[in-house]
Amino acid sequence: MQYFPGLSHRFRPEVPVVIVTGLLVYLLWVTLYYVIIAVEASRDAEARVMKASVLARDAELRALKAQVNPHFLFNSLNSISALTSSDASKAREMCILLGDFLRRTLGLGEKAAIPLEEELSLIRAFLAVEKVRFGARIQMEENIDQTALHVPVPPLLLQPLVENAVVHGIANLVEGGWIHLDVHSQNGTLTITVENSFDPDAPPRRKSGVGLVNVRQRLQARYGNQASFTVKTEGDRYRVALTLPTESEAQPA
Amino acid sequence: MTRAAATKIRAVIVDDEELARQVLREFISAHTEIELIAECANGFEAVKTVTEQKPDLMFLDIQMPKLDGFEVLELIGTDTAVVFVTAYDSYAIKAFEVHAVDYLLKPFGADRFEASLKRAKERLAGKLPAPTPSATELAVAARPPAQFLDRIAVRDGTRVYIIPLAKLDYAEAQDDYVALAAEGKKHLKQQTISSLESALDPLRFMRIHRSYIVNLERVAKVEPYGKDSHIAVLANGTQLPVSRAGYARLRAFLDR
Repeated sequence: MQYFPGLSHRFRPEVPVVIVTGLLVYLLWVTLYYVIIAVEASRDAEARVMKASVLARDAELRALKAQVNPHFLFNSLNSISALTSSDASKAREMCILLGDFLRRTLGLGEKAAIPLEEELSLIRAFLAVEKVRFGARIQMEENIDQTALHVPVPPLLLQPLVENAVVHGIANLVEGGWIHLDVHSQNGTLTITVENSFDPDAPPRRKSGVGLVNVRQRLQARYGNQASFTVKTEGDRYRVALTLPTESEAQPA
Repeated sequence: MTRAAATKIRAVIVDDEELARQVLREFISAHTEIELIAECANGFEAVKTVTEQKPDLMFLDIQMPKLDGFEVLELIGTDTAVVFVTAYDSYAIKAFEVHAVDYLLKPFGADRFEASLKRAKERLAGKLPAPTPSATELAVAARPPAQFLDRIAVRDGTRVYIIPLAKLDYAEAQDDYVALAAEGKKHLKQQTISSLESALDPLRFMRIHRSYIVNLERVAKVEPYGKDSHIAVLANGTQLPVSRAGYARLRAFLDR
């Protein structure tokens, strides 16, 4: 030890301790850093999930608020008002049809899904009212796959499509027009098509597209990529097609 | 013809729904001083009827096939007193209130109908002024915000032409009219160029001159003309004058 008199000074015993401590502190920081990043990432993911569910809820709410179009209601009441003096029993019949439709829409908001059959009854009740208003101008044709009747679907998914066909199709055709409703269930997929005639030169409607946008958003929010929604116009034919899974695995949160 | 018959008010009902026409028919039938001369189920029929028969009074629905109620109003001039009949349209109702046009909200009762009729009679007797401002301005006011026109209806005699805005090359002011150039033809419409301008999408149409609005898609080039003015040359070769302010706007658009 005598040969290296400064050695004990240069290699002080605390040096390894300092190095180890430094390393530990460094590791601690790194760990902390990654923990913070991970926490933030999970918070982001959580926020995204929250946002999706808020969007879904929003879309549902809007759908339910819009379920009874004021136009539809006021025009129906006007038809009843006309019938009271010319055909009292028809006026009563229309009151009953309108009551039937309104009753069916009540309480749908609390349900996440209803059997397709129930949605089809709602559409028929809606069209029964509109047929009094438009008379022979509405021609409805259904082609329903009977095996699909019990498939659960979000309430008020199809009614807006049929209402759209009436408001933007039939209502603009002097001689009237047709609506074709086609439902197929195959390999776990429900395919629904609503097709109607329309006048390509009709005056632009003053409020349009809200119903369809809402249906698209609700499908997207609930089923994501498992659902599809397409709109196509071909000459004087307007066609909305949607697909969704028949399994109810994609129930909302 | 007796004097009483000569002073009958000649009325027309315009609505695409039979039951809606029925209500009006019933209320009108209680008035011997009103003669119902026609019922129309769409806007084209309404314009034709007004042109041919010149009724005094018209009950006019808004949402109809072919032409809507505002398009009809724009085309028929101001000699006919118009009472709008509609179910629900918040913007239209607001516009009616502002412009003092009378209107009936479906469903309506006999008392409300009588009140409208009274106003219409005062109008016809000259006691009430015709609604101000013009029909086109009412139509502009009744449009939901940020919703621009996508077609223009013009009338030539009893015929109605619909010009989709995609086919409009340019509009030129001519006194109280605008000349609308589309597909090689010019259609005249009674409207000021400023009111037309306010109804057009500014991203598609630009006022390039006091007297000209151009469809921006049609502009092929802008060339200097004379000392310090310019002309816009359209894809079909048409040359339109560009004012100094118009040139600045056009430059800003093209340089974007």
